[in-house]
Amino acid sequence: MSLHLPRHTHTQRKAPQVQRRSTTVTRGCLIVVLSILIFLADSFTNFEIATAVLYVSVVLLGAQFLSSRHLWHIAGLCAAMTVISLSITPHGNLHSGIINTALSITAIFATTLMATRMLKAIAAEHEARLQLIHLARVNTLGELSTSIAHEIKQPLTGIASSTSAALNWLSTTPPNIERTRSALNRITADATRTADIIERIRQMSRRSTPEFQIIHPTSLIQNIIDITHTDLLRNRITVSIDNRYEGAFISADEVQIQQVFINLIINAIAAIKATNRLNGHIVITIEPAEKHFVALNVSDNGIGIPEDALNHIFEPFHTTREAGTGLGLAICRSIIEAHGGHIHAFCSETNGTTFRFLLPLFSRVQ
Amino acid sequence: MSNLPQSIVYIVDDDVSVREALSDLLESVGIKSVLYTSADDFLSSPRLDCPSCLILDVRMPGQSGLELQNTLNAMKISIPILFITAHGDIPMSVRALKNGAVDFLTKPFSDQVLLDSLHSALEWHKAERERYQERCVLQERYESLNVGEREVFRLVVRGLLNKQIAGLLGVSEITVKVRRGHVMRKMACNSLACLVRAHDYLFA
Ligand SMILES: Nc1ncnc2c1ncn2[C@@H]1O[C@H](COP(=O)(O)OP(=O)(O)O)[C@@H](O)[C@H]1O
Ligand SMILES: [Mg+2]
Repeated sequence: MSLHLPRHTHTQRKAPQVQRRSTTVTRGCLIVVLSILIFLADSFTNFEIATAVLYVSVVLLGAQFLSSRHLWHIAGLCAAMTVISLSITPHGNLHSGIINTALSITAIFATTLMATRMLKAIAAEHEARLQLIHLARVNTLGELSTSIAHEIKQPLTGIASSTSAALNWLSTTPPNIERTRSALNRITADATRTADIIERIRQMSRRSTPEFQIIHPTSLIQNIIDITHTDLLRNRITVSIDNRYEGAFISADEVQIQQVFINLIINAIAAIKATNRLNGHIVITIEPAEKHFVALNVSDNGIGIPEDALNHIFEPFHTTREAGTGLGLAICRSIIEAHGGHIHAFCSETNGTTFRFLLPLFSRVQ
Repeated sequence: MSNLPQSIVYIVDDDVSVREALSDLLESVGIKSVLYTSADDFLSSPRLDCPSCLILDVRMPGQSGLELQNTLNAMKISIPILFITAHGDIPMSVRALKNGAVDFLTKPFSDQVLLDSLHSALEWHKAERERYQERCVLQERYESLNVGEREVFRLVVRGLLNKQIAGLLGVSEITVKVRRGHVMRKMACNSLACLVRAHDYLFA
């Protein structure tokens, strides 16, 4: 591996983040300036000129980066400013002034309504995409297990029927040894066939070993938060990243580690939702662990896990959720272990759950 | 006639383990079977003229078990079908049973359940074949009647008197009496009740 690679990925990842923050500030300023200009123009032009309709552009600008709630606040402010302008405009026909004000306010609110609808549609699309990422793996697993089940049930049927046949041949008088023997031979062959099927599946899963690349955990986590952003926002859950190990690099399959984080965050969201609390919070910590390892923690203030269930949550098909598959954590564990790490969960006294997993650090000496 | 077995089971399954184990199991309880690897294989082979049952796998290359069931229904072949499948879901089994399957077993199944289903299917087919035979004989007898006798037959079983029949057909009462006698003889009946039953059987 060349040395410059990690740093390169690092800066490349960080750039859009900084850029996004600065555009938000620029847009905010633009909105304020635009509103003031429209207000002045509206106040000092005649009643007959419906300058206030231009507030629509403020709403449209806001829709680019604000939430629906904030958009309604902006619309309310614009409407208020329109009314204020009406009272301080010195010239013109008051009657047409009132009509123009009413028209402008209608236009502002209609535009806001359309914009919030649009935002909602976009949010729904985001969520669908997230679910898709989450389900893709689970579904392949589901399909795979159906066809494995089908394959294995054939020789099992052979074994079951041959066993009954063998017993029948033995209980004739005199026992039919020859037929019993051939039934037993079929059973052996079917058992071998079953073992072959299982061996083929095992080889198939061995082939999907992770594709390693050098990753900076901070940028990976930022990526995950971007993906889950809409889901978190909708459930009023805040996320903070506590990075106590800036210099950590790991050698890992990025898609697989993303999968781990997505599964953990989806679980955390579900656990927080189950408490009905309003101050939902997820903390992701990156810290040094034992020699050559970095520890990644995902903590939530959700319902927590009862002591006796803690030993089972990583088992496949263990679930307490109605729509759960019980595969999320099982997948997390097999991914982490394929990376030479390990994962465990514990519950803190202040309620909530922490999942902690260790991944080996990338070192040039290797 | 004498070299035909008492009953026969056709096994259609693309899996050799299942096929051979099943046929051996059946043989161990004295039931003869013939094996086929596909639906087409079964359709293109001659069937024996004796009580029989079809054990049919659902998922096979080529025509599936459910498709074969439809084909047989369309051909009006009344052989009972017992489905076996390694991944049966409920809608699939409902569909199969609605189309007349006698049972729908998921692999691996218990031999007792299979044999019980099989026995009742064979019993049913035996009775069905007898009913069919009877119908054929009656049909033959009916076809030996001439037009006038068929008309009298039709009216007699409605419970009409000779005089009424004579009026309706515009013939003498004597003629009706004679034809009625022929009908009784040709249909091999000695009572009105017997005639009514024969008529129901023919035109049900
Ligand atoms: N953050 C968490 N807080 C509380 N319980 C959790 C959390 N994550 C997982 N669990 C418990 O572990 C179970 C298994 O989780 P998982 O393997 O992801 O399957 P699923 O989410 O489909 O139920 C969940 O049903 C839940 O009971
Ligand atoms: Mg889950």
